[in-house]
Amino acid sequence: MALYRTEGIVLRVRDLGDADRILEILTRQGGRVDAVAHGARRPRAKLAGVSQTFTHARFLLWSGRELATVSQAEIVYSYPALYEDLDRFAMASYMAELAEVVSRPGASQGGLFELLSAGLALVAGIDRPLVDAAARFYELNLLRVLGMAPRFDRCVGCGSVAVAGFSAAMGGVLCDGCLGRDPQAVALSPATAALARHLLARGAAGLAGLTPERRSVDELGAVLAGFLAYQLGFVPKTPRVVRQLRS
Amino acid sequence: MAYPSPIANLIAQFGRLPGIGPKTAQRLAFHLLESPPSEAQALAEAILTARQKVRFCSECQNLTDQDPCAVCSDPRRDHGLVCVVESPRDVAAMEKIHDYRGTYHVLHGVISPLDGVGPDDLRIGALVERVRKGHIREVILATNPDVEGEATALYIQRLLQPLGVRVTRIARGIPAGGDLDYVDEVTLVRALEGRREMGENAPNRSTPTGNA
Repeated sequence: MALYRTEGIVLRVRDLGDADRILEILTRQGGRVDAVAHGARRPRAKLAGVSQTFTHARFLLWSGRELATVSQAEIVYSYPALYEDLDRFAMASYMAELAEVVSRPGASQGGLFELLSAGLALVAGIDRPLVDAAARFYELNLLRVLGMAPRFDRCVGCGSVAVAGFSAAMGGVLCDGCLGRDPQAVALSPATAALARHLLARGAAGLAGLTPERRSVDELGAVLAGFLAYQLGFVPKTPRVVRQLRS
Repeated sequence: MAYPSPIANLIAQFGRLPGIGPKTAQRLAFHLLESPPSEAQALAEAILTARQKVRFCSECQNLTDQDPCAVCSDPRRDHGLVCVVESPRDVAAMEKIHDYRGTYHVLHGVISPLDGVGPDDLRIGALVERVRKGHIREVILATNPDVEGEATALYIQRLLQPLGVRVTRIARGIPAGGDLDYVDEVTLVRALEGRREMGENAPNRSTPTGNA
């Protein structure tokens, strides 16, 4: 057992026994860590505040064979806006789910912690109509962190700058002439491809003052959902709940 | 050593319970085998009776052996006041304070996108139906003050507001005996929002709990 300091974001919280919680923490340096917060469900517990989903904190952890133990914790951000808006809460949950799926226990993934931190700050603080665009920013940059970012600048078939569709299998946009090379390719408008390029090139700051068309944000969302499912082999749970919350 | 089939089966059944590992399952199984047959009989009967008789109250969705449950069929309770909680254990906690004389509605969970639990998976529709009947004047949302509990409360408030019922949220803030230094900013913000005036001119409490 060793005591170590780390900074992390709580991805998920599970109850343990009568009064404890297991925190699934994405750490800045050490990948995903599961840690027990003893007594965190008691009303006066010092670890109660930090044992909340999406909380960004500095932790002092005892390492263990299977589970670490939280010795002390100090909150960096707790994102109050995520408690007050269903849309922001739902999108933050989606971001946490993707981070959970792609992160590995004990192994740092360069840029993933920073991306989740930026994504949560964005979804908590951005103008409400841009919450979905913030999710697209996160999806695109998650793929970039994983080295899987699709190409939106040129046709992956011939290098042409014209955009007519998107192929998950070929990893990017296709021109009209190459569209037939993948029977599973879906239509994609040039405006949507331009939005994707903007979100990849400009970072979180690029969302400020952006007024994307709803159609482009939705079309990019559908394309990226298909691409994530193809590349990662999983279908996230959160979008179904997001649809229920919005219906 | 392989156990005889009945013992192995008993261990396997205990092992399926939450929080019970293989060693604990073995200990429980051997405890039962070494205890008088009447004890094992009583346990088996208790399990079967509970499974057969306990169901959901058609009004409040709490677990009950009679429908409507004891709270919903009690004429001394205030049926215009409904406290919405996450689980049957929360009803038991509320009943311990002996100060609340309204009724309940049990959701059997909270909205948790990360676990794939949405509003359609909870008993929110039954609550809306109760309110639509028109006998309810106030709904108190008493889900836990964590991010999932807040989201669930927000969602229910959004559904009930157009129906003209008063929707309130239980107070949140720093617990008695708590330490300000360890309180997160969400709780602090809530505590400041819910601050109360002190002294002789302070307004009286105005939080009816259904008490006569």
